[in-house]
Amino acid sequence: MPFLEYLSYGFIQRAIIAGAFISVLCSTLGVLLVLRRLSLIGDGLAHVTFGSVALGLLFGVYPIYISLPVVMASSLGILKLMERARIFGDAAIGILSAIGIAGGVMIASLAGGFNVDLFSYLFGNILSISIQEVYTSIVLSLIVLTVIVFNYHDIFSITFDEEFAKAGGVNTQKLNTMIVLFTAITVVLTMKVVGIMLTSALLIFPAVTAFQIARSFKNALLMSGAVALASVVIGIFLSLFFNLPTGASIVIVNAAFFGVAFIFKHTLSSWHD
Amino acid sequence: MPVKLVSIENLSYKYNSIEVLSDISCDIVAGEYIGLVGPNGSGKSTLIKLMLGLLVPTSGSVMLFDHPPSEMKYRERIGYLPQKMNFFNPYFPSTVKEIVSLGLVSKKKFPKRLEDADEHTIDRTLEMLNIADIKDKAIGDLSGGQQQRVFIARALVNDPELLLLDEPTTALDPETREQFFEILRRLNHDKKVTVVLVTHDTGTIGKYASKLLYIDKEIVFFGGFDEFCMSGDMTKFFGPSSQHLICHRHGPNIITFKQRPNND
Repeated sequence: MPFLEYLSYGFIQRAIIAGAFISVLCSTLGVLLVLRRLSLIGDGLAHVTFGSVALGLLFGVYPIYISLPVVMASSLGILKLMERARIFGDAAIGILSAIGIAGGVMIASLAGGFNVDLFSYLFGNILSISIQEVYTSIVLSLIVLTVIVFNYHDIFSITFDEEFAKAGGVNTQKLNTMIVLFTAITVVLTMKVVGIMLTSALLIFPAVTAFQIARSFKNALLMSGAVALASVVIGIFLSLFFNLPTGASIVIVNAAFFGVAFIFKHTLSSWHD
Repeated sequence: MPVKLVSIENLSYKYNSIEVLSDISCDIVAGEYIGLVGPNGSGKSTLIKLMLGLLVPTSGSVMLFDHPPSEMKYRERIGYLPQKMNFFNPYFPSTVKEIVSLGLVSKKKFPKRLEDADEHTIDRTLEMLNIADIKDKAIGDLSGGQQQRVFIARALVNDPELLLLDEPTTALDPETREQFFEILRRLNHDKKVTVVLVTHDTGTIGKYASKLLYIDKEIVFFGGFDEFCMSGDMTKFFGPSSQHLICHRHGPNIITFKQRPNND
């Protein structure tokens, strides 16, 4: 089938539009999380999403309506655990993650075992995204990205040096809360694109790819967004042409971009030497 | 009437039940240049953080420009340089100009935007520290000394009234160190900027500071250098050789502080 003919299909248009917005959102948050060494928070919240999706399926409720509040509450739980229980971020993430997965497995067992629906959330199925889900993705992505743009300098400040930012009057607590809540929203949206198992890849890969080349924070955000967008579009078409799982294709394309950037950077360094 | 920028009263701070600071009381008056010295682990950095409201006292109080630090809104009046080793990620993708601009933009009101005048201010500050030629370079590509000058520029860029500097001369070569102290001297002398500088370099600080604040969990000494040099208590505490070294202000001598007086 000619390439352009694919674009005339509604399900492909929906997949590309939703994928574009969600990927840019992921890449933006990914830059902040990777630089703050909170990369695994995406993984942890994705595991919590699994539990909340199982809960939604058990009660016959559209999973996103359960996942959004549960994952947002869990993200705040991670922050509180770090403050009150005096444990580092990775341990706090591990606690919530374990509860999420174990809870999901127990609920699935109560419901009579894993079914097709639950598997599709585990591995994503962006080609089946509904128009309602597209609107939800666009609205939530635009809200989060707009807030980030308007708070760009403060977010940059706390990402680079939180202590200095706080000394300068930046409300670091509010911003940290905002970032984890936005991460929760992003993780829930991403499960449709690449699935719960691969969500963290979409957060991490574009950021680390951009870091190979970008010299400024602004360029890192822009490059990360460009890589994420390209990965989603190329991944979708690769999956169509070669009949591959879409979520995994998107992640493999991301990995390829990282590989190219890494080789480019090191080749450039050797030429300069 | 001297204006108190920082007032500390009976301040104590514990971390994990370990007492870090005990019953500290002192005032920092506008226009002073204070060398904050003490052995490792004496609580110098902790005291600076308590002044800024980054930590909450276990007991006692701190007032910053007549407000509790948590309520002090006009942060553009303060310049702060944290201890470098505490936070810096050398792989962070950021240019020199972006980092220095943080000293200006974070203190602005919403929506925080850099204006043309701010660009000139940043350029001027970079020139003052001889790093204007590297403003578009990535921070990770710079030497340790250049990086430290970038962080100093970030602290100075907003023309603060009060400068709190935690070991600012780390990684600076002797020539740059002297230039930096000269910049501080001019800021303090010409613009009456109040300086509190944490350092181990008592020899050099002795050349510039008007007062010495020596702490070792509590205040051991707070006063002028002349007072320090004439004090029999300080002779007993430091020993005559160390006191002599500080008082005669020889170059950048790093001396080893005694932990407690040994009745010598």
